Amino acid sequence: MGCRINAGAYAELVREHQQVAFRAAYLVTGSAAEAEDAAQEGFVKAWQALPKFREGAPFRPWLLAIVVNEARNRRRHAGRQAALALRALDPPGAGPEEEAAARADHERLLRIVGGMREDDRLVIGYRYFLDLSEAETAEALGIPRGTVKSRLARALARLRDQIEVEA
Amino acid sequence: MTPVEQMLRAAAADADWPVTPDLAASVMARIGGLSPLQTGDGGAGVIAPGASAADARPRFRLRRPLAIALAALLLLAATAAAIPGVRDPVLDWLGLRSVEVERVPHPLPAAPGEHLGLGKRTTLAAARSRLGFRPVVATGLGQPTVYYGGFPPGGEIGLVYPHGIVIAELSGRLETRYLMKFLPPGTEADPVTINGDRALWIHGAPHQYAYVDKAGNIHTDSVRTAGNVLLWHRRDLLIRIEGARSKARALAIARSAREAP
Repeated sequence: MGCRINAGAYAELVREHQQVAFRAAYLVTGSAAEAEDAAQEGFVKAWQALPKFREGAPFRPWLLAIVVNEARNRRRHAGRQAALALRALDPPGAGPEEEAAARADHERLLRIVGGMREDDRLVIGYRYFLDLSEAETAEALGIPRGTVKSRLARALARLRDQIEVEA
Repeated sequence: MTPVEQMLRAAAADADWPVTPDLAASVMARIGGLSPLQTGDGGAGVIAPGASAADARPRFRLRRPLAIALAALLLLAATAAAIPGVRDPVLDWLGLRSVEVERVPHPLPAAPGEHLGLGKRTTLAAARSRLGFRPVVATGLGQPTVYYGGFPPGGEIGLVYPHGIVIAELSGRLETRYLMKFLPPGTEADPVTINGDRALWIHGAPHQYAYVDKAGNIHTDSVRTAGNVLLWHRRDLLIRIEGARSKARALAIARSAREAP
């Protein structure tokens, strides 16, 4: 009999990370159904790969790397580009004009990010939507921290350009 | 932070993400049927991000309804076979050093609520020592089986009483505009008060609800039992009472609650 992690403890781990895993997959697929499948597959593969994982490393970025890899594969097999459709939440009621204007700005920004290429969308999504640290983003994307900085700077520059074009 | 970054942060807070599905049941069903985690096979290498050692392993996939239906059985089976090792580096890595390790030559009987995904089974005293708040317990329902989960910030306690009453408590608050988005057609939310506190009796077919944790982050959580639910905002606590057969019964349970000794 070998050593096994308690299945209940892994279920707890799944519950703790399922939101960030699902949303990372959604950043890639733009489809809730495909994101769910990718996240589920990612958790299964993470379980199987646990014995070979480096002790002491953070779990979240490692999991996200697996999940996003799954999401990319599914999108490629589907033979289409992702069309991320994040929208701003509806105003809770008849709010002041400033609030409505801010919502419209957020909606526009989310639409522009949703239309960016995958590398840009992921690095922006990890840092600002999923609130990953720079180190976690580097780990999840499999690139050095310095590359995260430069990739993010370029993505933000392209985002600024697009905002100005649409202004 | 640049203006664009500030806008991204603000827009992220307003983003209307699709509802996160509850993956625990389907994942646990699948890993129960595949290869369970084993240590001691010499694996100490680093897995490159984006790669998976599981790729080379045999795969099969259960249809989702079947997977969900099997989840409880497999959870019990896997848990009964749990952790015969003394010190497991994987447990350490997961931050689960406190998980009980024992030899189980025979399957353990299922604990009430074990399949509900409420966290790790523990004692009330142990849960209290880890929670960031003082939980409440119902009176007159008997001794609960206690579960603790480390998420969201401050932790969550689950109390499973005889006759199917489940009380879950976490540090957070209701946000009505988010909550209503998760209620399917035909489900209604009646405002009620409990000792002056705000509460909602949700009846119909609620499956998920939204709340805001003490750090201000929005989360969704699943209603664990099929049926109605009472969501009660008591000071800084969000308390969920499930399994009551009527609104009057749920309110009576809530009004009987006292802070844990």
